[in-house]
Amino acid sequence: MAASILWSISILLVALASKPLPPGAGPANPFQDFGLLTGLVLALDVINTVFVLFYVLRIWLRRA
Amino acid sequence: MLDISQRRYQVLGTAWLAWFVNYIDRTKTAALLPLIIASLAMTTQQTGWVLFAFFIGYAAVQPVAGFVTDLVGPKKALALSVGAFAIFTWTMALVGSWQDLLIRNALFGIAEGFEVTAGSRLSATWFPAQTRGRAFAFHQTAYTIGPILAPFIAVPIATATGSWRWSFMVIAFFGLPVLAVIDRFVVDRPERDPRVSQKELDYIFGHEEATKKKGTVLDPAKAHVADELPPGERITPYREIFLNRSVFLMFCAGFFGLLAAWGLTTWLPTYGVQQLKLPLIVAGSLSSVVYLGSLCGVVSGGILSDKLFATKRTPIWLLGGVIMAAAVLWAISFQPGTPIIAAYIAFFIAGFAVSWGPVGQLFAPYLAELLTPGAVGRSLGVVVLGGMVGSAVAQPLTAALIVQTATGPQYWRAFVMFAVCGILMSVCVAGMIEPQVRRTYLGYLFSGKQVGSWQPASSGV
Repeated sequence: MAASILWSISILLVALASKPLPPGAGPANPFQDFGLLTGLVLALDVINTVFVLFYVLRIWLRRA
Repeated sequence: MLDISQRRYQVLGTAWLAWFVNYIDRTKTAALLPLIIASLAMTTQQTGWVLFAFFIGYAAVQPVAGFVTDLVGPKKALALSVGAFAIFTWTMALVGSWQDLLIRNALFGIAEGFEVTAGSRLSATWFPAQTRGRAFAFHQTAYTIGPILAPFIAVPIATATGSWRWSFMVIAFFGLPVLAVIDRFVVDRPERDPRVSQKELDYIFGHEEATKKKGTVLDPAKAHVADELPPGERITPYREIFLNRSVFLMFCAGFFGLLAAWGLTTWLPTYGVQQLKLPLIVAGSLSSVVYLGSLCGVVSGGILSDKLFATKRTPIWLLGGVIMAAAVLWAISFQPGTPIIAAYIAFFIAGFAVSWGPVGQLFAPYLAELLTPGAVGRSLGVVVLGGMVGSAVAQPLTAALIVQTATGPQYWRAFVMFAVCGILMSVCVAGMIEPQVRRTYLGYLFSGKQVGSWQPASSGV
């Protein structure tokens, strides 16, 4: 019990000591920052990469 | 009236689009920098190193990019660049520390570095000398319009979604339509394009050159006689490209010019927030004003070079550095409470003048006329290397010159350095050969407009 109170106080002190992040800054951990949308982000990354590879290979493999 | 069915305009439009997206992509990082600094808890020095990483990656790849462009052709080099920076943009959305950002920013710089030589070579190859200045000026408007718009795309996305990372995610997709357009419209050389008309070829190369010259050796350094080369090219050995006084001075002028230009534009939003105490969106707009000035500068410079100076390129560059130095020295006096209109005017003039430099505009026409269009890739690789080393050095150097005071950071020492760089840029240009008058432009003026005796080394004179 005492430990949990001390832990809560220590968290509170850290929170009070640190300046709030400006709007648009977000936490340093990208997965914490994206939250529930992390899966969507990874899916978009895969889609982007597939399209890029399609076009680059198409241009590079075509004879002049 | 511009006839967009002409193939040269379609190729130029595509090169412009690729350059535009390249600049949106790279300048969004500067616009979002205050948010990234807060998110990753970066110090000023760490920020300087992160920015340095982009430019050193970009610089290191320039000589390679020039050779690759001339070897595989500008279309493939352009596609490679756009594809690579689209991928590296989304990977940067997933960084968790400043070291992580530094490494990915370096890779992003390498990817973006392949674009300039490819786009410039396309402009130099597809346009004749009499309109090359204006065509390339249009190409260069992309590097001014992109950064003007970047803060207004990147910052609202970040504030609306609550994270700067979403700006990277969205902008990563901008490369896809560019790749589709490159695939559809770009062909490396006019005479190799089945869709180009004989009339257009006559316009680009002249009737005699277009009909009689059928050479297939694409590298002007490897041809033994002129007939081995395609139209519009002349034999240009490697020693003429790399042991060339004007190319070396252009390298030095590029170093000083881009040190000032990128030092100023990258740090301007942070300067606006820290020294002038402006809101982020207003501070970001200071960079936009610099690029608005550059937009007016590249357009006016291209027109003046082609029309007023009869395709001479160096007079424009001579003026640029001096005017930029004067504008930046004026900006030293700005403090919180300075009317924002004064800051806008000073940075507009600085942007206008800095675009009148050897790595701001007219560099592809100049190198095509000093050497040959087929050597623009590798010679430009050398010149842009100088500029990008200057850009890379500018980041930690500017960070080191920021003075920490009781009222907050002061940037005056950095601004003095930018002004000195402007003067040195003009000094370097004064020593460069102006191909149209066969001597330096100042030599031409001081001799009462006497044409000199300079000849390309390969001409045998």
